[in-house]
Amino acid sequence: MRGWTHYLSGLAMSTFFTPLLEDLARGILWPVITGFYAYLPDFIDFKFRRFLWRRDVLVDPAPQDSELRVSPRRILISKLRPENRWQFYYIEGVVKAVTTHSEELTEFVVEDDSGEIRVVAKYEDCQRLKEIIGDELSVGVRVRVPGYMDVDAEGNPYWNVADAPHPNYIAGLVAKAIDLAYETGKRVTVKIYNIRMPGDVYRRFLIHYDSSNKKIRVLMGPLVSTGGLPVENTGVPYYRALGEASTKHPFKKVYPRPTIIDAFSGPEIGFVKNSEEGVVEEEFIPWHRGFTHSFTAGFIFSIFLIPILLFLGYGNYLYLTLAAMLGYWMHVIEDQMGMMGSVLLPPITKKRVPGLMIGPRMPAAMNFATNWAMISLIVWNLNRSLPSISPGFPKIIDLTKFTGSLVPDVVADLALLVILLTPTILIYVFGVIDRAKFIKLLKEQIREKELEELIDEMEEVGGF
Amino acid sequence: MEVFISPLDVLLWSLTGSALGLVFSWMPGFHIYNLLALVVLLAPSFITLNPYALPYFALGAVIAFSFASSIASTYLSVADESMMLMLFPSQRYLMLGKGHKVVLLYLIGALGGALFLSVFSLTIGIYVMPVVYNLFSPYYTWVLVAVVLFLFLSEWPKEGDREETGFKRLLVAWRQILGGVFVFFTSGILGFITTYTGLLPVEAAYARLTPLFIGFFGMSWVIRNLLSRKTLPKQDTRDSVETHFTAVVNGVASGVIGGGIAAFFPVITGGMGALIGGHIASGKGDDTFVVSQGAARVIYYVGALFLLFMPTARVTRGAVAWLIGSIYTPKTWFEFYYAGFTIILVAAISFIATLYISKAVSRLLSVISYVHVSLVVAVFLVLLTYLITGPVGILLLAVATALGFTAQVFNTRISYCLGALILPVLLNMTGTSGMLLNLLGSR
Repeated sequence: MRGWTHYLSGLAMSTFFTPLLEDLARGILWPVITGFYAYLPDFIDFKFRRFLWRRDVLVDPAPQDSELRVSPRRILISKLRPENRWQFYYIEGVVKAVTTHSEELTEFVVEDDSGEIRVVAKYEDCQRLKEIIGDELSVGVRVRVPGYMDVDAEGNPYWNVADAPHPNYIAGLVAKAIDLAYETGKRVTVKIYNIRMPGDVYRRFLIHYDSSNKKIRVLMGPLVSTGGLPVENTGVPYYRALGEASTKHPFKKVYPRPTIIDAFSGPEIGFVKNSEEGVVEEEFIPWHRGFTHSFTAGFIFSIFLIPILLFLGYGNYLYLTLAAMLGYWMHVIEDQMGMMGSVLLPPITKKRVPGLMIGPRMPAAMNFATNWAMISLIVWNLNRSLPSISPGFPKIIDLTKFTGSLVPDVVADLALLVILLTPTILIYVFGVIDRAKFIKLLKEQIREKELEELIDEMEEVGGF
Repeated sequence: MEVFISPLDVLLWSLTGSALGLVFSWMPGFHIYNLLALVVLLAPSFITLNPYALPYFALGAVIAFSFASSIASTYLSVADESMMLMLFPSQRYLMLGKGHKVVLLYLIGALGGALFLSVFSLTIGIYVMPVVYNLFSPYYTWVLVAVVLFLFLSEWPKEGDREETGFKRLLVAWRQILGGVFVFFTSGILGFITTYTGLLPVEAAYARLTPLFIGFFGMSWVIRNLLSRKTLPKQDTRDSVETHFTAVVNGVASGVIGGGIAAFFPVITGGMGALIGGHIASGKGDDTFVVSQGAARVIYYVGALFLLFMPTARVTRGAVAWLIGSIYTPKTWFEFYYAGFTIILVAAISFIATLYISKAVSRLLSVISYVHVSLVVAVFLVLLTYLITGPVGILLLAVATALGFTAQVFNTRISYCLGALILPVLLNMTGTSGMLLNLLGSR
């Protein structure tokens, strides 16, 4: 659910209490606190915990220039270390010698103040190099070459011309973190930085967990805008698009969505050993949906509100505290509709309880439906409270006008609520159907994969 | 039923209004609110020629403005208070040679918004709007405060992620959040001083916030363009756009919701409404965002004025409605239906006209240096401010430009500059404006 949805839920909770509505109508605005409380779990997570969380392994595929805040950053040739292999930088220096210069392979030596290195451009990267340094590649020319350091078959380092890091770098570090988590038995948090390029565009990459083969695969994608829209002709060539690394120990991905990194900031991924199953489990953004996203936290934070409101001299402090707590709980409930889930009731529950996964392929519709529900609740509450708040004023929407005295007031009110909530109910029903279909699809895909693996095995042993 | 105006008059006056809107709105700094106020001031005989037709003249002008002003914000980085959220994607597209594509996407959203507005208002709206008005009118302050609070809460820290220690990361992230709060309150105090003190001459009262808005949303960006010595790539002026149907639907939906909120609730601007609309409709991606801005602006500006025509609501929202309503308020169902059809007609004309203006500006920018264009725009904005508000206006423009810059330095939302509009109203609504006036020594 989006931030506004939670916030609106909090505001909606305050409308259930007529004394709070009376205050709002009089211009006493303290009940706005309920919106803040409903937003509070994400506020704490995204504005505090995210920054304070300990990071054990840093994955920075393309370090940024410290002033421009974009990649790539310059690296001196002498500073290149084995751990920099496949990381995206640029080197700058003078061409010392040109050994090969053709359409499919260009090789030359670049020297900067600290040392020299052989530069290699293959296939499409020859054209890329041409675009960067122009047609004339000759000795003595000063060049700036983006790319990454790699090692050839003889174990000699060279500079590979590229417009992105090699995905092996990311795959290798993630695999290492998984093994570390298994061997130490402690949670290992990996911080993966995103790749921000000039023009406020980002290089997208995807991390795939192939748990059955104990492999981490990384796919390097095109440049995308902050909105996720790919920029034309910015994909990387096939020979440096896929990276792979093996783990020594078993692991499994718990969060069912793919790990895609592009705009804004890269995620933190926790790896925790599940001793019972003997497997390392992935914990997507471990600082999120912890204690803050629980009914327990809602209760505790709301209790703190009482002395503050008493200090401020607010008379309806009990109603407001209750509404704030309900707002907080609404956040927890709404998040539980998704996939990730929350801890819910610590200390009774210690880990995230998986979400209900309603409408997994229609999150926008689910978000809208929840907003609609909250707006409906606000309208319904404002309408039914009107005679109490403004004595002598009739309800704006009064179904008894149509039904006459046959239907009691309470029933007419409830009927109005049902009418208002109908779109939400319908979308949620679709969400439940979508859930069933999604699970069925997942199972089919798993079966297909198992079948493929079986065929592979049979081919290997000569069964076909 | 009494009929005050003929369909021919409606057509004539709305087309005249749209011509005025199309001629001026693509130029930076010309806000339709000021333009219409100038027309009323400078040509009172034109206005009194046919008072029954005046609302259609204004409607035509506002529709044309909400379409054609996309040119200034896309190509010249000059927006108004409703548009600030659009700057970043449009700048990005422009730097990729796709300025015309942004305009086209915007126009698709605007046309979708206009169609929705017309159809909704002529059908369900006549029943729904009075109910919404009666239910929510005692709670306007609540809604406004809630939206402003959400603006602060939803600020997404863009920096701090790469610092070494947790404390440093937190510090850098909160620098941006607190920077936003600082910009909001400083702009608020500036707006408060401009509104409640006699800094500006009485003749400029109709445009007292103009120097501030030009400074916040226009000048600060134009100067930034000048400093960065930006050069534009060749622009693609083909009338085609590759996008997904769902991006358009989602964009129109979030624009309609956001613009609707802004049109109905006082002081909430199109940009603030668009933020909420984006959250409700889960709009994602630049295309959706640009489309939503088009829809939001049409609903915000045109919808607010159209409420004046609605016989079951007759709510006065927005500066144009207040201006027109003081001369003549439409009363009959005929006038309402005429307005509904005017929206569709003028929207279609504005769509085509803006497309051609965009092509012309796009081609012009391919041959003229963007730095020179920015320089001309900067001089033009200063001159315009001087002509409307005099030397004090220039001073206000300078302060507002500095605040617009401050928002950029903190990497925070430039929309916090709206504090200039929101804070004085909020203080007024809560009865605390006297306290601030005392503090400032103005009472």
